[in-house]
Amino acid sequence: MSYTIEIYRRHQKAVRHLGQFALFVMFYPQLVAGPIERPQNLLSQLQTEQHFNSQRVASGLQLMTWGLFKKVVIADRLAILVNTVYTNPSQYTGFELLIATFFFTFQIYCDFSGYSDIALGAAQVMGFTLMQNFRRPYLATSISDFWSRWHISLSTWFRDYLYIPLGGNRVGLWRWQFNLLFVFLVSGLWHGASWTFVLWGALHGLYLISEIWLGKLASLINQAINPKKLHNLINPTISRNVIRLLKWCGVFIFVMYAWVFFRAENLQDSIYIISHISIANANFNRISVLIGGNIELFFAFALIVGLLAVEIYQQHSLAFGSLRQQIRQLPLWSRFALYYLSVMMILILGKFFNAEADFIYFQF
Amino acid sequence: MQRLILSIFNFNMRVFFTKLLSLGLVIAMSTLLIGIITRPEESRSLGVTIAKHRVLQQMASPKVVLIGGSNLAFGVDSARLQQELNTNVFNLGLNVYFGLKFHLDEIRPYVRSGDLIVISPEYHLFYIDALKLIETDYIMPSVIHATFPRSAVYFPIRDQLSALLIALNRLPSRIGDRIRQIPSGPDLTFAYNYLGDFIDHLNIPASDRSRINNADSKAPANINWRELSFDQNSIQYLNQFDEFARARGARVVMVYPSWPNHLYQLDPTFYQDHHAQLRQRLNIPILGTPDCYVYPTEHMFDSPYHVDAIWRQERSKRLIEDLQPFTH
Repeated sequence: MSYTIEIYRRHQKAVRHLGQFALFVMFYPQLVAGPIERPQNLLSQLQTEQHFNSQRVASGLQLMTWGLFKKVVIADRLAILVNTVYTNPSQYTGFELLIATFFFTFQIYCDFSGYSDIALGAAQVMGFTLMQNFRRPYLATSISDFWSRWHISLSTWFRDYLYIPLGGNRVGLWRWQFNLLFVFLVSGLWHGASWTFVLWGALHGLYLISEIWLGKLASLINQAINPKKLHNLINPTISRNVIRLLKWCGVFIFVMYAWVFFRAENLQDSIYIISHISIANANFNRISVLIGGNIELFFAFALIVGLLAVEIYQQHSLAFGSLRQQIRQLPLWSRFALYYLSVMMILILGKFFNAEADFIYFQF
Repeated sequence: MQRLILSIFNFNMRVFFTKLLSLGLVIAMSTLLIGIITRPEESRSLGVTIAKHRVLQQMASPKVVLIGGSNLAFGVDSARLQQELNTNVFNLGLNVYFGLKFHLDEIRPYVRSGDLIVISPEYHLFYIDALKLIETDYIMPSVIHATFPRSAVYFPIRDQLSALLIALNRLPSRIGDRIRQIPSGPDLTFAYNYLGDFIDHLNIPASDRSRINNADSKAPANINWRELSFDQNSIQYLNQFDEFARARGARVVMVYPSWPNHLYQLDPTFYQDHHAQLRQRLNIPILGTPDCYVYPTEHMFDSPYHVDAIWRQERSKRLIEDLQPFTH
């Protein structure tokens, strides 16, 4: 669709070469589940002669390995509990529903971003650069920040082809809010013709609208209270970090809450889960049995913590170049050991025999 | 050829692919090594077959040998058969996953003149991919391979690779078990009697639902045999085995496995058709019909082929009646 729209808008010249057009449409790394590529980016690369570059191939393979790790080690491991609980939620306690939802929050991220990394890596091996689809979304400190990091190719697609043509934010306040809600309702429907997806989209639309009002409220408070007086009471660095942490927690909880609607089999189940989910009576005994033992449960939590640690490190080490660039600068034997360990970890810790191990986004 | 390769791959490519290949080789070798040194714990329970072969080797002929899967291991009182048929009886039945060809091949060295070989193949062995309908199927190639490395030829390469992956996958839990000093799997050699019958289940009270699972658990109640393709090789294996046994002066007969009533009632005509097809194409005499070995579901557990102590006796009684004309 983006090709047709871009040609119509005269942002892109029509391709006259059938082979190049076919290659663009059927470019296999991103054919099944994105990233949703724009013609401007991919077509120009298809028209350029590619030469072998060992650094680029190695970098692509690194990305594919990382994607595979996220998919088969993290996502498919978490899926065991998530699938069991979400198939029949009424059989489980509020705490078990909470842990399953928490796991799904990371399952869907690792599943989908894992696929995107494999697609990006495969394209990179062949000499093509696809657009980044995820940028550490669970480190977001606002919902709008979350959407600038999650499924970037889809959110920018909706931004460029729906939100901006509707007027975007350059309209009156009420129209702006309508635009946001409408775009997210359509985004929900894009995932499937089900009320659960519509509600998921609507929730995110409402989150963004609430953010507009919270922003207005915050500026009113700022005007009413002199910030300098506050800084005399609390160290500004500490207060900034505490506010950041609170924002991060808030965004994470709201996003996790919305995932319930995305994952539930039907509306009744999602309402049941929302009304019963609870932190009370925390008991890991049955969860441990459901996921396959204490060791599996330990791995599940350890992998989530590890994933967040890597992402936080990446976020803060951007000034020193990406993690992959840093790996490239290691001595040959260290790199060799690192690659060996990565592949062995995938083979040893991967879940290869789950009945429902397809990529979640293959259905959309 | 070398010049062609050199012309296609420039120096950079050659260096890169050499590094990649070295890494792949090291990974493949360590995978193989871990796969070989780690044995799935279930292999200990299936290892009883080695003991069974030892007994069978020393058993004098004429003898009756029962071959098949666990329907025989769980469902026959061989001592009673031995007493009432007045001949040596041995139960080689163990596990359906070994496959029909394996069952027929493993008995070959022990077939002698005057022997009667009773084959009781599970229904799953006659239909392509039917074993895959059972939940734990992916574990079995690794278990069987660990028990009998020579069984590798009975499984496709895909299953062998799965077996390696499973061995790797189990490494963390096995290390955890070792740290917590949990013994690795039960040694079930003592769960069998000297004639090869599994006897550990005989004293389980029917009320003990924690051990007696629903017979559906390993074969879904909605199994639709008619959607599966009949495995033509099964007929060929059986007829070839019959020829082999005749050449050795032995006889071969076939009996049906135990099967729960609720699954039978889903489609009784299927079992009649199945029987008609076998009757028409097999050179081996078939004793009885499928319905002769259909038992109340509540007396079956773990798998639709496993009967409890009461129906084990019923089945043995029926087998004695069927086998008597061949042993006198």
